[in-house]
Amino acid sequence: MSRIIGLGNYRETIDTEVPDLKLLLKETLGMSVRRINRFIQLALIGAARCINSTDIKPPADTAVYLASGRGDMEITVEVQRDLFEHGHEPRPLNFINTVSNAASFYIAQSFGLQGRNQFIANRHWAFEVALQSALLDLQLGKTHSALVGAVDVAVSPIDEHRQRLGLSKNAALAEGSHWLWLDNNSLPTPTRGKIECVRHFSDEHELLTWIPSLRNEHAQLICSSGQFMASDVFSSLRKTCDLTQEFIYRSDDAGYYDSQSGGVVADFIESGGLASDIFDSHSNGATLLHLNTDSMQRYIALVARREPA
Amino acid sequence: MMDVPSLNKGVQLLGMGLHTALGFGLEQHFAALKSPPRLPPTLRVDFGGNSSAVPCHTLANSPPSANDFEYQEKRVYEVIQRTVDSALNQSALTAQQQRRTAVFVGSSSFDISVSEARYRRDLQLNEHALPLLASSCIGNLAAFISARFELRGPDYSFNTACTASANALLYAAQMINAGLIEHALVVGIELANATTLLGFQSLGLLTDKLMTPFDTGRGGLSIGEGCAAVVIGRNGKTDSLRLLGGANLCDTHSISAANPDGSSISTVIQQALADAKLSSSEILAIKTHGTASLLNDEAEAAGLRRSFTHMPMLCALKPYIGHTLGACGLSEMVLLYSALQRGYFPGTPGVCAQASELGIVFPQTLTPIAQGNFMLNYFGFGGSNTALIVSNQEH
Repeated sequence: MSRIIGLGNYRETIDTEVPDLKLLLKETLGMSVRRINRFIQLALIGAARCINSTDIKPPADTAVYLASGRGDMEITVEVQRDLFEHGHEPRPLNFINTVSNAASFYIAQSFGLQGRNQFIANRHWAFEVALQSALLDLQLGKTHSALVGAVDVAVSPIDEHRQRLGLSKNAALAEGSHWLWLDNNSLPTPTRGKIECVRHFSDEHELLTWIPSLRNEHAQLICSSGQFMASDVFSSLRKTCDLTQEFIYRSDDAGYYDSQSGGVVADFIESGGLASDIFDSHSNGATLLHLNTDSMQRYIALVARREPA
Repeated sequence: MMDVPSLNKGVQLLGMGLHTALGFGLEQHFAALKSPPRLPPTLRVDFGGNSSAVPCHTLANSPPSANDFEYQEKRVYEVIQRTVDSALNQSALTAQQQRRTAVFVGSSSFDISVSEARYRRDLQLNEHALPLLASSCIGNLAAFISARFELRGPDYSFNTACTASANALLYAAQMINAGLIEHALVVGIELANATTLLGFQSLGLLTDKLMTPFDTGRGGLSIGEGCAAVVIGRNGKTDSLRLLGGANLCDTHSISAANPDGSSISTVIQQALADAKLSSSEILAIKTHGTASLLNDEAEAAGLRRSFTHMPMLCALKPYIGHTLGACGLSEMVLLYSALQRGYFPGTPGVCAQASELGIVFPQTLTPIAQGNFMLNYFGFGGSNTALIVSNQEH
């Protein structure tokens, strides 16, 4: 189990054009960063919001774990167009920034972080696997402070972006940058919550075998579903496992982007740890069980707690 | 903090597959190490009405055929499938073990070759075709491997430039040591694509001569295609290669090169040694990163000098197979092992026979070597520095 000491979210529905982020970046980070594009800007904004939610600065050996479903699509599209439409070699800095860990480098450089630095992806649950890797490093003592984030960017023109994502013509779009700052109880700052675990299950049977033991440990278990879990599957799981309370952190209307799971923990903690369908001022210390699935019907569960007030 | 079993026993390599310009399988690779490296062929890269000839160590018996778009859209899957087959067959996992195996993929370009081929094909029909329509998810190759081989453990894709598959292996081993998984399939994959070849060309980092890492006259690197796969777990044969430990750190000096004073490289080396519970004097030999670029080699040589009072035997493998970028973590480890398992350490013929200005000397031929502990270094864009420590001592 690791402490959550900082939270930062950026989430924006995209109507017609992607917003310019330079001013927001400067306001959030406290300085300009030149020659970076929107994916890196988003990553910095989310990480800065997370760090700014505390009263301390991250120590130099803080590790950074960045997750994304599709990485910096903007720079990749630009490079591909330069090559095959215009017949130009990639510009050197554009090429270097096509590696996904360019974004985690800029986060490290902006905050003076020289610990572990990873970019980890997964087709369906990038945030969860990055969080799992961070938890493991904390538990094994490879680091004592970890920034974990999930970033996915929208690319203009929006209609083309919808095609790339396989969405319908009028589907709502969004982009997001979600960050948690975790430690192993070593930093002088209050606890916002706890991440208990991220666990993988090969099939539904394994998941259904595990949930009852989790329920025995937690008096108040509130569940949420990842974007790749169909609503009927989620309903069936809730019914089978008697998970009566749900936390709703996203909606299709708010817009699609990969790695939306990145926002669920911060939203849960900041909402007061309340189920969306029950308002109860005595629900301190409620536990979130966030479930997601993939096209092979494997499952992943994230368990987090809000720190009682 | 989690109480883990002694890392000195290490996680073992139970099965391997390797496909590079030198051939397929460890036997072909060891045979190739008996001869000096060869100049890579030049690959013609067509892009938007222009063309460029770029040196590239392409996969043996699997020409890229970049203008055969249909083939290009399948090639990466065929290459991965064959290499993973080799590793899984050698590992002799039971069906149940295989089903629970986790998948870790490290690459810098993943399946961009598929996207490029699709875009080029679409552009022939429609000048307003969209790039990146095919395969824009970074986790696609890992998902393909999981589905193709019915591996129902979790899958992870690492995109940290030239340290990607080394980091993938590091985390796979950690998860096994922590008891979260029993076995892992780790894959490093890098195939030729216009973005990578022309990107490196635009950086002025390529040479059309043989690579000469650490040499005073070094002139850059040549790209190599590579696919390597290893299955790791515990309870393998006593003479299996074992991963004892490793470390990864971020060097914020520059996005494209490590600190030339060697401090950041030395720090990651020290952390890797500590993780493996070894001192520097217990390292028998080192596989350098050795890209033959001015900045990397300077930083790496400085880092090695800071870390080792007495320099162990060194080798550089990129002259043989090119720089396989995100795949180099695994491809160079398996290539190294092809020699170690036969009692030899690779030479680096024609390079640094005498100490260069950077103080680096390479044996010029395959050299008999005892069993022992070996360090493998990898440094990449984005300040990513990784060092791994393996052992082939019987346990």
